[in-house]
Amino acid sequence: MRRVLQILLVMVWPIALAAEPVRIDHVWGSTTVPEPPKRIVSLSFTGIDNWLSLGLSPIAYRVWYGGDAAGLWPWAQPLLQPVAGLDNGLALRGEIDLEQIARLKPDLIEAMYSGISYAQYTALSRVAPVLPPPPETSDFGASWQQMIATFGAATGKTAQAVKVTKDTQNRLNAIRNAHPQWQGKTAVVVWPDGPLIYGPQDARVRLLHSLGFVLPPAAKRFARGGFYFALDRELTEPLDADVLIWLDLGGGVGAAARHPLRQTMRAVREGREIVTDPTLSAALSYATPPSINYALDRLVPLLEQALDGDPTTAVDGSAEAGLSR
Amino acid sequence: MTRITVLYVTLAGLLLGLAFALLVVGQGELHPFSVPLDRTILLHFRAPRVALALVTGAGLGMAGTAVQTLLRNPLASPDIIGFSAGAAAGAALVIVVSGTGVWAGAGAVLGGSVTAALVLALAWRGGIAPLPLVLIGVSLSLLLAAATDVLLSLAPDLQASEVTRFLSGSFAGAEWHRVGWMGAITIIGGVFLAWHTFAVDRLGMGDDMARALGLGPDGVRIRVVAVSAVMVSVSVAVAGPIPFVAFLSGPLARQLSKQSGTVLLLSGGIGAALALGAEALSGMLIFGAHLPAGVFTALIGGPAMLGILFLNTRQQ
Amino acid sequence: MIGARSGIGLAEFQVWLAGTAPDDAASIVLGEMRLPRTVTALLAGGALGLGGALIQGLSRNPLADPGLLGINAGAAFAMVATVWWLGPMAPALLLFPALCGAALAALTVSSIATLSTSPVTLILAGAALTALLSAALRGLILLDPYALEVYRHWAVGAVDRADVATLQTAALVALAGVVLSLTVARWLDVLALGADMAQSLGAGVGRIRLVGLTAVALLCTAAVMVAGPIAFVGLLAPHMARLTGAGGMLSQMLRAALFGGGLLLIADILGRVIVPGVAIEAGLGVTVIGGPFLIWLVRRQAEGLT
Repeated sequence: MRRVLQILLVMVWPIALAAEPVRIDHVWGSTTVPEPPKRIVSLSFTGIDNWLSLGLSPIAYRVWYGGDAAGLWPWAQPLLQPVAGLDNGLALRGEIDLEQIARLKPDLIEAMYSGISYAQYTALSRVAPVLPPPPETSDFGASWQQMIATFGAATGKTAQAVKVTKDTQNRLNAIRNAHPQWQGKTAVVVWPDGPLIYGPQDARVRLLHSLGFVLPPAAKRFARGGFYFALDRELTEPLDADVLIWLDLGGGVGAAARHPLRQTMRAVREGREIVTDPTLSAALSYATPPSINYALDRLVPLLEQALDGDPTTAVDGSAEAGLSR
Repeated sequence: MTRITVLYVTLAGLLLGLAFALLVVGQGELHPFSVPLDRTILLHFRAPRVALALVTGAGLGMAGTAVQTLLRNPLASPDIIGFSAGAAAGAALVIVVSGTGVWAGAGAVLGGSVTAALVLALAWRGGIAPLPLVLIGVSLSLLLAAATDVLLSLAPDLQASEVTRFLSGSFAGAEWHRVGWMGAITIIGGVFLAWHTFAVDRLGMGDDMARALGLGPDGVRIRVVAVSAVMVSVSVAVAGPIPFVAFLSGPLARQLSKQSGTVLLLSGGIGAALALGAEALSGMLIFGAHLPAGVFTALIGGPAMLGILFLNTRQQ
Repeated sequence: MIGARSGIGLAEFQVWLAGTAPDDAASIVLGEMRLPRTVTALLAGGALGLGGALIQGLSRNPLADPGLLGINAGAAFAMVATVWWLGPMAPALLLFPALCGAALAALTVSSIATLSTSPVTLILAGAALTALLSAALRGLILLDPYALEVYRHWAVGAVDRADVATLQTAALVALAGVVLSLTVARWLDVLALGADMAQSLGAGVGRIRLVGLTAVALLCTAAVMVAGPIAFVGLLAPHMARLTGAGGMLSQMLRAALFGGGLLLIADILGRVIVPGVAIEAGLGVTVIGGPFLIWLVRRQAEGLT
């Protein structure tokens, strides 16, 4: 419901306003962007994806982790284009460096998902308008919908922002409607070394939820609404799901293959295991329109293979990752 | 010139030189009188960081050496007997619960002070003996570190790495009013500790020695420990827990000067030098990224300590 | 016998002992999970307790902990550096670098500490190296989020990681440490009478230190191998041993080893049953039990400890 309201709000925003100063409310008050910015510095960890999805290339962007030499993952690489007259695409890593940012002479500093401190916000505001997290959210409480809508408002691209949000939402709904058999099925996302089970607040679990999946009751009980919890290795009940997703963050899933109780798990016996390789895992973690698109391209076929009800169907990637049945 | 004079002159030169270099050398030329952006960079970006590093380092160095001497154990510095851990746990609690680092400073001061009060209260058995106080402090420190770990696991990945970043200690968030707070605390605390140096040094030799001179051991201990705890807590509030400055400054000062006792001023100077040196390194790009100053205090102080120990033992 | 999974009782225990149903879930849990866990807890706890008593005796500092030699920090740093250098890899493969890091750190501190006769040198050298390594570690972690992920889970010591092969290797390492410790125990008693006395009885301070530190390094490395960095056991167990009576160094060290093993085992068992289903690692459990316990112990003994 809130999401619909947000989209409506963005839609009624008059496009004519774009040429005039735009006031954007945020967690520490409000920031005025005097005119559509050209030199954008994006400090959000997922900022580059969201800017690129609006067709805008920041002059500098923050790298979260991994990706290619420029810190871009496959879903963002083709979107970053050189802009004439603009030396764009500088990758920023590590701590926020105030002086480096100031010397880039930005006309907008976007930091909605960056962990920026109030002191850094006031210091950077001396250089250019700064966009900290939206009102009443925590440091990393901004959703991609909020970020896209705010980016659109700040740059006068509200129509584009609405379209990106709608397209992604429509695709999620379409997949959900095309798979009525998934509704109410249980799915659990696990990091094998631990094992850690991700809870209802996690971005990956939320994405699965929007496709119609729910957490297994035992996992839901232990997670207590949090982000993740470490499961006692003796227990397999929370892993007893219609689809069991092992997250490979780059270290392989050897711990899943070596789990002593592996043969007693239902998902293993019934061929309902999925391994998400490091790139797919990252796409699920980034949770931005381009990364969600990429993730859906690859995850949906895997979910179909795992949930076809036939234990003999191989799920792509599982055998390669060392999971045997 | 005596050894100690040479030391003071060298240290003062080092501090001035480093501070000047940090203000002048940066990512490009600076014309603060003609270009407004450059003036902002100098006055609001660089200068507060240098000043904060100086006052924080000096405060930590003095608080550390006073507590170590008082409790007669080089391991008994405020960052090991729980004050830093308490301040860090308080800050981490605030960050994880509120989801933002804005109130972390208040959490740090509260956490550090409560921990110090708790250590003193638990150690009180009709008086305060050094060893029980230290052991209780270490226990609480480890407990609080464990609590911070648990707090970290309750946060989402990015929030957790943000807490990790805060827990590394950094002068990056410096602004003038923080410098004012820390500067005031360092000066008031430093004067207080200097006033107590005589008593602390006598207590460092033993309670009987102090009593013979008419000093009440418990009163001195409570006052000095409490003041040091406040200094450390405020430093965590303004810069995060800058590690090992409180712990290394005193022993470095004693090994370098070959004196015993508090060597308060020298320890403060060495603390400031460690912090400033770390700040200089954090301004450099290391594998394409800036690392917080807290990473470097021990990278400078650790080898320095090992080297001095090696040289001093060779001379024996 | 106690664990999170219900439905494992005496009957299942007998079935497992008899070996009649090796593929049964209960037998797997008992044989491949609870047995190694128990052995790990006893081995790591015992090694740390013994190592703690030894290092407190060597440094004559009741605050000393085997972690003080920089061994935990060395192992952690080597592990994270390997991940950073070679990229993500399975945590099980990181055992070897951890071992090398621990050994190198121990060697560095020992070589500086044996140069001097002053106990303060040992403490300062150990603490300085620990500080140095843990700072380098933090730097790498901030550079590489995957390394942070690996480290975060390793840094809280746990007893459910080691497989049988690792346990066997670690047991051999620990055994070597035990043999050396027993040799040193007698010398330490002599040393307590004074360095000159010890010298005249043929036990040079330098030699005692060298052998003693090697023993501590071996013991601590064995514990790190199987359980990661476990705080507190090495500090607390010797104090418990002292509480239960004076006696010579030898008997104190043996008692410290027993207390250490028992402490870790209890912490592990409690960690499994306090919040059902959610694993609370033994490293955390030890701190939660050990912290208040040490405070209580110190308060009780406050008059005696000055």
